[in-house]
Amino acid sequence: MYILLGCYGMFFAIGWLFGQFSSAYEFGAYFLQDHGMFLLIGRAVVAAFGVGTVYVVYKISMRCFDHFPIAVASAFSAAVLAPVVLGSYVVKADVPAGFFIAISLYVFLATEETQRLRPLIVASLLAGIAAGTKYYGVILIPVFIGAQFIHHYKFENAWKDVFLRSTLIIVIFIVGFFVVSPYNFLDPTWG
Amino acid sequence: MKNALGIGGTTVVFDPDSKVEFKAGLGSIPGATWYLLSRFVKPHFFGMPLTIFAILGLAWMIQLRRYSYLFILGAPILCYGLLAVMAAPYHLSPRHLIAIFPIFCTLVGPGIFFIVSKFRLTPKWSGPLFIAIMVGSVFQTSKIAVQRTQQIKPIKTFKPSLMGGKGPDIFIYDILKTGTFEYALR
Repeated sequence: MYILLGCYGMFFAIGWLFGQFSSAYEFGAYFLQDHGMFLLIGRAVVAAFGVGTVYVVYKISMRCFDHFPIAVASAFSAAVLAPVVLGSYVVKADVPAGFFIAISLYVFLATEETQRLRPLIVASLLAGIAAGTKYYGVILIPVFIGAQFIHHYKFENAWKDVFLRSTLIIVIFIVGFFVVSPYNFLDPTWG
Repeated sequence: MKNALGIGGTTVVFDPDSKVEFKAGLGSIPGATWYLLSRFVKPHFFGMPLTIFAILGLAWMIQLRRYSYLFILGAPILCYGLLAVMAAPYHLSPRHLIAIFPIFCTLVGPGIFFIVSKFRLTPKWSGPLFIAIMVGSVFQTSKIAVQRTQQIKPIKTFKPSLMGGKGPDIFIYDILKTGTFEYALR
């Protein structure tokens, strides 16, 4: 929603610069008269997320399997999958949420190679953004915390580290969620 | 407590999207799980061929003993499935699963590779076979994507007033005669 707001804001700014809109009121009147351009912008944004998802699928596959044909086959299946194709030209939150979940997982995969906090923080933030886009993103929390228990055995992390990292995941997730959907927290009537 | 959990099924719920009537609570989980799985393999969801290759991809990861990667890719699917059958049983359309389809797609490539590697062919033949299986596995779903896109018919056209009537034509499309209107430039 806020991404669309930003895009519509840019549309207004460009229209204002070229003298099409003299004020926000005129812009609002234009929306009521002819909202075709707004739907087009929305569809372009969602389609861009769909294309981005295909690239992220390729990157996840490369990180997991490090084999070009496997990654291409995975990305190809995502590129032609009917629900993703059809979902990518409807202005809804499903495709952007799928993109944020996929990119969050991609970033999180880096924690399999390094125990630095940066990928964990970025992945948790992206998971929060995914959940703020659509609630599905919440599924990443048990996954990320569960992975910390695996890391306890794999990297011989102390239980204290497992606890601190799990707490960090939850805190950063909430921050990401709050940034993209603040009224979930501020407005008790928010559905 | 029994009523709150719905054990024994005290409240009958009707889902208008799936047109399924079920008893709310934990008792609905087995039926909802079966409903989810049976819908998932339908061509307009993930389809049977891609599902088989995704499962084979998971199996290959087990064979490679890449358990942590297996957990990171498999656990979100499991969590999503649990959430779907517990929080919104029988409420399912393809777009509701878009969030986990990319993860499944990640597993399709290794599944195809796993099958091709079983034939023990020379690179001269394994490459074409890999491509043939890849194209064949997505044929059904891509056909649906193309057909559904072609079914979108323009029902009205107009010039955008923003460009003083000089811009490109904008068509209003009726998506699949469902009454959902979409716009596109032409």
